[in-house]
Amino acid sequence: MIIVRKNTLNLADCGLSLDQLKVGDSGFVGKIGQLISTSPTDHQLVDRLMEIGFIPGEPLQVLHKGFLSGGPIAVRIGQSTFALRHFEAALISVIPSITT
Amino acid sequence: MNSSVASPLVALVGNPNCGKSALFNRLTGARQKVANFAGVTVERKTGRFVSASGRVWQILDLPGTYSINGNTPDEQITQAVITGHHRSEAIPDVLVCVVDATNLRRGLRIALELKQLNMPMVLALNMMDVAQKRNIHVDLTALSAALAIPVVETVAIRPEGEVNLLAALEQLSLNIEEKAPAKSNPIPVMELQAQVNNILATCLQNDLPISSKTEQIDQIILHPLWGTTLFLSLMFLIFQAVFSWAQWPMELIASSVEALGDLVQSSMQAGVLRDLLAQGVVGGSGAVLVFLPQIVILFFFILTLEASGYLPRAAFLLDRLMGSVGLSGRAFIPLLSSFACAIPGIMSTRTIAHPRDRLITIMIAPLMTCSARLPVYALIIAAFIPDQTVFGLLNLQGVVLFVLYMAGILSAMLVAWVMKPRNKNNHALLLELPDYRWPNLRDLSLGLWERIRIFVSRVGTIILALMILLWFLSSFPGAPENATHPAIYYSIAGLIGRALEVIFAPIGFNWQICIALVPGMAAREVAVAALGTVYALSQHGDNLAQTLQPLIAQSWSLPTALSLLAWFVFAPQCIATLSVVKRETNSWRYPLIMVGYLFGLAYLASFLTYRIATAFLG
Repeated sequence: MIIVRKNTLNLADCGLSLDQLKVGDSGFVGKIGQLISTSPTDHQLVDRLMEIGFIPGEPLQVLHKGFLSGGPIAVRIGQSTFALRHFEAALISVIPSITT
Repeated sequence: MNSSVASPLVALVGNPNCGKSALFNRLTGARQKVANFAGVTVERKTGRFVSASGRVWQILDLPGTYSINGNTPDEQITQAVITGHHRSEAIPDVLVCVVDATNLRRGLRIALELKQLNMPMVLALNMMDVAQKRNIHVDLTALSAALAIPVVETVAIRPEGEVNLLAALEQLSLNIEEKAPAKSNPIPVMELQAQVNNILATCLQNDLPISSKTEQIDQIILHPLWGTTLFLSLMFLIFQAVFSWAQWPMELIASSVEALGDLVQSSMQAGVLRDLLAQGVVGGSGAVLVFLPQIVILFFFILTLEASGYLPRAAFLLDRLMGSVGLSGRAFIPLLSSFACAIPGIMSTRTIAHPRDRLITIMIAPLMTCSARLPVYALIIAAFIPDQTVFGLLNLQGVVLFVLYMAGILSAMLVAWVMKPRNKNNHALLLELPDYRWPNLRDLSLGLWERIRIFVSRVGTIILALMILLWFLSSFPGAPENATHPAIYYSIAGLIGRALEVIFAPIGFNWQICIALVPGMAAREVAVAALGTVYALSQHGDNLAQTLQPLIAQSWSLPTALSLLAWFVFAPQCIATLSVVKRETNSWRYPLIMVGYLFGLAYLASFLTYRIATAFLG
């Protein structure tokens, strides 16, 4: 069975998502999986993101981005660092911290 | 049976990169059985160790996992084993949950998940040395009280770093006869983290987050320009090193093998047995053994890069490229392992969650030039490519080797792109970039030793058996009276070779090469040994002692040599790889597709190479 994915924008969530942050920006994990989609792989992905530590309230910071647009993003979450692709980062909404 | 005599089974469970494998090595030393590949914990690793009281323990190292309810094939193995639902593994008597002391926030989540299985359990706070350096202080008594299980400090990379764990294991009261499968009731991850935060508030004095050294190093290594330059230079250095550093040990092995052959020749009476020993056994296995130094150097680099934490960074740098041909960024690590051997590479694709991604990675893994092809490349390059310096500093032979590796990589990209699903699915990356570490000498040498052992035992078993078989096929039936060709021409092998020559003549292969291709299917490096046997038997007169390299330099044209190099870039799979593909994909379909497309590509590439080279070189 082929699942056709629709990128439905959730208008209720106007906050920042992780892929929109710049290198050096930091904040806290808000909600995960707000871009609602029916794809079961997305639910798996959301579970997976939470398992590796993207849990609401955890501090995060963008450390690096690839040099071509669309490259991966290196994010520090808690005490670990993970590389995410853009669409993965887009699943994570961020509450920006007050710049220090 | 008295339970103090029986040896309980300990299972090591924990996050990836928490030093679990190092702790396993520390506990078992050389008394371990590792699956047939380097480094990453993907398959089953078991061993034994003895505690102070003389009790013998069995130990099982499970794949690293972020959660016991995970969904990659890797994590499912871990989950099945610890809950007793794995079909071939016994349920463990004790769980040792290994936690990186510098990353308790994450490590304690899995500790809490494991705890609700209600099995005997010890928490090992590993990497306490690093934690102390970073001023992280953990209150062990409070942590032990909060979790209601024993908590010990370990430093897996230091001698005696495991004694606390052994003492704690001794004190457990185990009932190793009665075991029922455990039930896992997943705890919502939010709730888990809340519990962890509560525990940490009482047990952790200093929660300094990260390694600032790692951050500084990443400023360069993940830098778009410097990082990429560094990556390319590193890859190039490896290929140069494989050729130049290995030279004198290779010469040493080659001359010892030759001396041994001469000794057999001179000390035995002429006859079939002498020929078999000198040409089949010593000559055949010697021709492959010569490449041990190059394989050791290649694995030295792969293991070092892996242990230092560089590999995931390379995957980060290459992710954009991988994504453009529809591969998951995670595919990088299996593909890099495939440069050593496609078998561990294909097995490590289990860390890729998406089935289609995993399948594509498996299908292109054999296009990564495995170390078994190195002997073939090395032989032909040494015979046909002049050992000279180009562009002031590069060795021409090293450059050609680099080009061959690149040809494999580029065709893999192309094949992946062709197989890429057209319905625009996104591929997950989710790759951890662990802190940098100095590779531990002990773990490195254990890993290298494992590779040497596998290579040498292959020479001693499969390769040797094939060489003896080939020698028989090449020697019987003998040449007729008034023969105009060497004896092998009339033998069974000669017949097969001449039959195959019909197919392979258009790409420049003579019947001697065709004979060597057949056993080369069993293990590619055998092609070299087979050529050795074939050419030794093709000789007339006194020059039998000559080594293979000048022999083929005399008898092949340059287009033939280049065509054979092109053939081995694709080289239809060795049988061991195909059987692993069959096992991992659970069907005959994919191994058959693999043989078909690799054979087609190999023939096409060789045909083009041969025709173009002939047109230009005459």
